[in-house]
Amino acid sequence: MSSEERILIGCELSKEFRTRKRIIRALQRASVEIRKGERVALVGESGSGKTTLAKILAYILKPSEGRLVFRGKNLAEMDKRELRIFRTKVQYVPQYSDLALDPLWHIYDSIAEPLRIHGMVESRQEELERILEIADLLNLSIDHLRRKPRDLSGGELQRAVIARAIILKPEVLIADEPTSMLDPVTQSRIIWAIMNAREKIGFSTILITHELSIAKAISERLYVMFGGRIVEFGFTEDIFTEPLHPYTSSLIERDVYLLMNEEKIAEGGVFESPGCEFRFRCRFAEEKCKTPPPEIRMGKKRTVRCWLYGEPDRV
Amino acid sequence: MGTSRTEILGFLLLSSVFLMLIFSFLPEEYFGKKSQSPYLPPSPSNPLGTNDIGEDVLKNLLIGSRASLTIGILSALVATGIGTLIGVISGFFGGRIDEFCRSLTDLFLVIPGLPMMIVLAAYLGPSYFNVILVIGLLWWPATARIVRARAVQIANSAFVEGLIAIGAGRGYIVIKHILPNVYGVALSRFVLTVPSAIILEAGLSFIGLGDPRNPSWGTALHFALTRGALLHGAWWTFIPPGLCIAITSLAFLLIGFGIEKRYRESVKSMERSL
Amino acid sequence: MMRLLKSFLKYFSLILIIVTLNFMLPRVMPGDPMVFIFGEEIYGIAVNNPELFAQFVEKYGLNLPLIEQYRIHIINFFTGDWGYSFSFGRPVFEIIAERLPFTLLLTFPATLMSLAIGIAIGLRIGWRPNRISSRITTSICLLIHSVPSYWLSMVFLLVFSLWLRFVPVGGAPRPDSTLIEAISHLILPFSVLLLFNTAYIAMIVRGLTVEVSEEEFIATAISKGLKHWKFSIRHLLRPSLPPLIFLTAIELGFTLSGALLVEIVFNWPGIGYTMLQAVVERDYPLIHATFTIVAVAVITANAIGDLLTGFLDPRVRNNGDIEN
Repeated sequence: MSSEERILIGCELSKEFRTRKRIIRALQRASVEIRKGERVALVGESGSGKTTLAKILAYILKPSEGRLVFRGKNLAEMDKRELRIFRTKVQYVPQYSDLALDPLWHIYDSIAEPLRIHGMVESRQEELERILEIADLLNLSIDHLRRKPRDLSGGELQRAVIARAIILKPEVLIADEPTSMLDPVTQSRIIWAIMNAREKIGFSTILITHELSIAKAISERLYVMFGGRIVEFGFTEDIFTEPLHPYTSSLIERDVYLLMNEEKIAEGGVFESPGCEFRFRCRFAEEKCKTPPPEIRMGKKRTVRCWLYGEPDRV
Repeated sequence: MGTSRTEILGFLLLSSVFLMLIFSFLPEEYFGKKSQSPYLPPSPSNPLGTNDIGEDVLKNLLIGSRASLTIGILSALVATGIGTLIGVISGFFGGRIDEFCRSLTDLFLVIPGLPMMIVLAAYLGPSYFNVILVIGLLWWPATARIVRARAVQIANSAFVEGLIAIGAGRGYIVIKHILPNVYGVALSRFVLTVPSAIILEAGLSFIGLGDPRNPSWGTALHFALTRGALLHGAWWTFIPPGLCIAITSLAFLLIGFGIEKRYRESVKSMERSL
Repeated sequence: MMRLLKSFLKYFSLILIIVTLNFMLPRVMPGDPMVFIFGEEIYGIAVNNPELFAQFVEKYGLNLPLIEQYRIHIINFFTGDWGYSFSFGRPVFEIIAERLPFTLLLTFPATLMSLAIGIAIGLRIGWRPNRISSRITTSICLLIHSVPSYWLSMVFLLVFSLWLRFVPVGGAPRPDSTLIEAISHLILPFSVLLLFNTAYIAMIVRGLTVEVSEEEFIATAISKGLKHWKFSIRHLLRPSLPPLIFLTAIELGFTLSGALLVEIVFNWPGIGYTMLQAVVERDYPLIHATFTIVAVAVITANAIGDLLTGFLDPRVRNNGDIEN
């Protein structure tokens, strides 16, 4: 399904948040590539920077450093018109929340809104057809469409939000933890809905989750994040057979001891000291780890950020 | 969501006051005649007696309702309008605009309302329009604060984020999504501002800065004090106007509290907790 | 310490804003600024006499550039030169200094007493809001709140002064009055203020108490069998104290504004009464001064409230900078 054509590229993306007291480095030099039609997963725990990265990829947040390129055009250089087009092509679905949709609007109107904003349909009839098409894809009935958010269940609401995101037939769908806060049955329904829609429309998916099992099921390639950095990246299958980064292996092996043994707890992305953020938990940590490890290529389409794997290739 | 008993009481009171407003437009013959003698206590021919220049108190009371009610409602409208605007801008745009608006709001909250209005009214001169202006320009902070809180809640919510992701313009978001969701608070604020406005207007009239061509209940109190009615013991000249102010205020307060309560409950139900 | 300085700066700049407002208003408002600055009567006299007019312009520095005028204005404010009142024939500052104590005499005791009583009542009716006595009290408070304070004053005057002849009809105690006489003049306006503020505070405390009494830790304490009023004081009052202190300060400000109109009814020679006289005569310097003194008083009250809250609330003390 996926081709080699790279549509969305994030290059050395960094994001800093400044409050009156401190600087929070939420994201540090993350590089991401998305190809047409491929399924990618972004895995990490809370505070790893995955939501920040996701929002930057959708350009809801602007990166403090680094470039975002869509189909060859740098987003920072786009004019209003081009940006508008970008917005129809790359969509972001946030984590489940109470106010995922305007509580005063009917679901039908909320889903129709993107069409109306971009003037994509010429008649009510056409609009109705498009909405029914999408609703069907996501298993939403006409009855659902008539209601308001408060009358829908968690899973139904989330599907409505997804419907709104894909009604413009985007090329990339970024779903931020679409399944957390929902029960397992609903979780699988949502995943199924997204993948089903993907079959029909053909968009690439970037699924953000902290659940490895989900990531394994729905992705071809995987990015693992920790402490605001991408620590490992490669084909999902490869990573699961042979995880390289200590953090990745601890996730896969559910090494609870490792996961819990922290001397310094990262506060939602604040990392005061430079160096590999995982060194406080890593059983392999040594002096070297006080300097941030570079990205090391480990063969085709596989990188890892850890001193264990030698010096970086001079590329 | 039914109407509570207090709200019903409020509506009853309000209707009786509006009845007065309507009656005030009846032609002269229906009221007590202007008598030669001042300070006549209530009698069949003058149900509320006469004031210091022999005018029928009841007539003045009904006429006073016009100014008191209209000024009260209009100035509350202005104040709520300004407050909602500032609240929404402050809450939605955030950043330095928000800081500026909040400082402004705090400033206006600290400046004592009535004295400031008195100063302004002394400059602008006693007129119907000036009173509305002065009250409206100084009474918006309470609304602004509350509206801002709600606006911030909406602006930070997931669906607004989603709207930005779809490419909706900020003006569009404000008009189509923020304002409708803020309307409920704004309405309750409006209803609760009216009693303050009425009492403020009465205060201004009481001190002599009201519009003499549009006498309100406050004006009646002013004359009762300054033209000696009080000292003559002519209680019928000032007790009724004060009661009318009280009844009107109470009416709006009761209705306003009811609206506020219902709105809070509906917000809770609209935004389901997980 | 840093926080203290910041607060002080904040409130000082507020006062500065008021002073600036006073400077700008006569120059910005529709009408001839000179009328406002001289005062109507003086202007009326001087306008026909070019020499006299020039003298006045010179005196008020109206021929100087605006910045200069502003500078002089600020210096004047802080040195006590608040202009001249034509209607009284005396410097404004003198008049204010003379009248302010009367207003304070009325408002301070009223605020303090109404706080004590209001909190007590508020606690009681907030603790059991559904009892008949609570509901009746709440209704009474609401009623009092809806009524204009000056109207109530008029009623009181009528009933207690005119009809019952308990107390004299308004006015103030003279320097040679006895204590009884002084109190008899004071009691009526004081009572009105007391009533009003108590009702207001009771309502607010009730609101706070109702909220708190619905929280869970109350259940635990009840199960321990504490007597309810002792309980109220310890558990309800303590957490509510900071907002309460703050509220008191704000209250003082409100009381002051409310007292102004009450004074008028009772001919009580305080700031409010002075304001009325100034308004009637369109004596702008005096109008400004009365407004300024009230504003300064309110700002000071707020500042003190802020300070006290800072001392009492350990959260604020430690953090210094609460991020909203």
